Amino acid sequence: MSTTDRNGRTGLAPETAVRGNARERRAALRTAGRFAGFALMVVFACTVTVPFLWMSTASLKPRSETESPHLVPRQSRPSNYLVVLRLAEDPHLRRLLDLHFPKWYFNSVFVATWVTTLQVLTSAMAAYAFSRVRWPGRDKVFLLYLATMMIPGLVLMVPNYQIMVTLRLINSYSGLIIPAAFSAFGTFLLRQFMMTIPPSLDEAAEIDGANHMQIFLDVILPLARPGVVTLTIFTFLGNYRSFFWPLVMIKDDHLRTLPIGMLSFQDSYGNQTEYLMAATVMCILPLIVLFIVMQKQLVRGIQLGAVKG
Amino acid sequence: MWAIAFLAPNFLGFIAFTAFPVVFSLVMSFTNWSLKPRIEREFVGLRNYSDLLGVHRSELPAAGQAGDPGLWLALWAVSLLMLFTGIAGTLLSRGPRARGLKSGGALWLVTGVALMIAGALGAGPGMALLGVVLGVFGWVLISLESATWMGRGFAWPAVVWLGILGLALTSTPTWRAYDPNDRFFWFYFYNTAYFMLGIPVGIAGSLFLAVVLSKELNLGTRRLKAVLSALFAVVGAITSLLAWNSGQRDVALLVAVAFLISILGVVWANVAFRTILYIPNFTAGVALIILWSRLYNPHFGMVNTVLDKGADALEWSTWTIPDAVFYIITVLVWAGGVALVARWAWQLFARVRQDGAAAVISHVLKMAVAAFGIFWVGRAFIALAGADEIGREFPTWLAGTESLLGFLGLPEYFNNKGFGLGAREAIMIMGVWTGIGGNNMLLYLAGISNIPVELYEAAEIDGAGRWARFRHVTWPQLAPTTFFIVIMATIGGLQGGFEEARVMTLGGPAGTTTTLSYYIYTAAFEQLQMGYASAVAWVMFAIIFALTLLNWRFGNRYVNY
Repeated sequence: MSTTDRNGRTGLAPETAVRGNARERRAALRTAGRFAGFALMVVFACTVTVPFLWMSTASLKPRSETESPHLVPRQSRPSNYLVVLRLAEDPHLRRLLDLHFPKWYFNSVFVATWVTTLQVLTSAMAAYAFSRVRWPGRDKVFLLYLATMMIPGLVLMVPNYQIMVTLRLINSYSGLIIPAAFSAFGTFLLRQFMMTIPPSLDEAAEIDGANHMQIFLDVILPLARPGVVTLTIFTFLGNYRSFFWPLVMIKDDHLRTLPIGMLSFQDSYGNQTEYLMAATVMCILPLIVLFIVMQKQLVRGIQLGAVKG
Repeated sequence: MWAIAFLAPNFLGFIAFTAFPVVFSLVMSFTNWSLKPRIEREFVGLRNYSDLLGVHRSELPAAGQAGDPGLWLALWAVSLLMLFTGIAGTLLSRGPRARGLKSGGALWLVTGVALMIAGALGAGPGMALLGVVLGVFGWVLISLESATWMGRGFAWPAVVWLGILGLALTSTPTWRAYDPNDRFFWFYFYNTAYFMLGIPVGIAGSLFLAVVLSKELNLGTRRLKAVLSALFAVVGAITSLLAWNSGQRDVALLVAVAFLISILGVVWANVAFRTILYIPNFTAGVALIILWSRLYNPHFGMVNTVLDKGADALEWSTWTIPDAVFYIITVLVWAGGVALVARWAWQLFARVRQDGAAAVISHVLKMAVAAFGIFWVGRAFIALAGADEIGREFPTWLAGTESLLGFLGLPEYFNNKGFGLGAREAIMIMGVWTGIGGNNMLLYLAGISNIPVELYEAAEIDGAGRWARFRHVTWPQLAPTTFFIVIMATIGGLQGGFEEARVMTLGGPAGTTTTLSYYIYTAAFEQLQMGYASAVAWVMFAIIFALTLLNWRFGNRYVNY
């Protein structure tokens, strides 16, 4: 529209020229705003990062420096990590730490994997029954299911513990896995995903003579993959950091999962900040890596799950 | 047939670990169920509940003594009454005019202002703060109908929050006159409500971050980006190395990290920032709580180190910068304040004719608050000019019983050393840090991206500035998102605080960080009183249910386009 030459003169009518200047000014303002937003975000990102930075450097400090307010230690001691992993002796006690950090790692991953597998499987099947199979009273039952999501977990913890006592499942892997393997939330999430799959697809499969099992496995499950992935990650994550249930269920050190292991670590080696921080780094680092790798899917999953909820 | 096959696994688990336990829990709460084998189980009826919620009269402290509740009690009774009449008034007044709402709000406002004045005249900061709360409450009530200032989606949640706050505050002195059967329950309920005061801060922060992040933060073309990141890398490396060699190793590391983040930001723009901001939420859990318990260590933790450095910088600036500069800043701040208030006063004249008295009150209050704040900011700079030394009495954080609201009728050991920051504030700050870039931010981001661009374009043509566009386009359009977030946060907040209490403080110091969930845990798994713990859990459930219903009933009215 308006063309401004190098000297700022315009060949157009003055009115257009004024409008052009306003537009340029607005564009300049917008660029300035962009840079301001950028700077602001850098500041916020730094605020978020600094505690993690403190954690990493504290995990590398020798014992003599743990109480110093400095961020960077004069000497760094990466062997702290080996001590926590029980691959090296504690130089002060001259023996291995009597905690089983690597075992806790295994326990956490083991339990979380089992729970996730079972929960995704049972949820997907129930979601299929709620979205694809027609039966009388289906939607009412689903609403009832949904309503139970409002019940606070704490109401269920006490009786569930009593049930576990009665079943003699206290202090065992199965006691951690079985009660967590069923969830109304997972059913709800996957049902919402399956509802968005066009019914013509499975009708076509039905006409081709497929039964429900085949439709479920070959049509619906692959198409509901984003939902399944989201549920998998969140179930895994939720169980990886689950705290209350393992805390009341597990008494033996070798059955502890990471969170309650960390708690006992803090109780027995609370003053050895460097070891505690090394353990913390090892707890958190896999999660950070997981998030960075999966973040696109995760972000979409969170947003979808809530928008539909 | 197929349905049964597909449902069976989930349904069996559902019955065994959800449906049956719910019934079981309810039954338990009417018994003295215990894990101790010696105690014989028996049905106790409603005894658990009456132990939990009931009160009995206790001897009042003699008049004139330190703990004399007489005056306080009257004051609190009046304000409680006002709370309920205010709520009732608003509930009853529907319709376009909604007179009751406005007059009720105005009544609140006047009382609040009176209390503020009384507080300022010597009745103490607690009174003044109460006045502020009441005043804001009335102000919100008024703005509900006029809806000119606060926006529609915000108003009801705000009323709910302020109501919780008011209840929590008003219930404290009554404990002294009528001893509750279980005074811990009420105290822990108060703690829980106190923790929830951090939620609006977190939500506002998430919204702010989402608004900034919703804009494309790409700094330019590919070429410009390459140049910028190279520039950042070189400058960062040089500064960092210089600092390192001059012995400032901490500074060197921090500078390096800041530049690294900038480079990441140049290359990946919004995605980089979103990822970094989300990481605390993703890694939340016991490990992160342990990390923060070290950060809060009063001797070598990072938080107080930073405060110390900040105090150093302030002290240094008071020494090196001539006093005149501070006075000039003060004058500028005050001049700006006068200009702002004058502008509002000018607008007020226009309002009087249009909106009538209620709008005037809210406007005057706004002006008063602004004038007050600006006055104190100016005063602070004068104080800096005169200061030779900055105080170094920092908060002890997790070991501190100090509390921002601690002067409100709580036991004597609550005071306001260390800026009134104690264990509860420490946990709240950690919560905000963890949650601010978390799911709420992502939900807001998704919400903003769903707002039609035409609305912004239309607003821009109408000459709306940045703030006006946010106020009249973004905020109302985000009402459903805010509604969802507020409901989820309320539910989560009432059940929250367990991990923090167990890992960081064991509920201490002096029980200040014990929330309802930690109380249930200690009752059930430390004292083994499963029946009583179940009763607490059911009361908590009832509260959650009621609040959700309230949110739902009244929040929904503002979720419409």
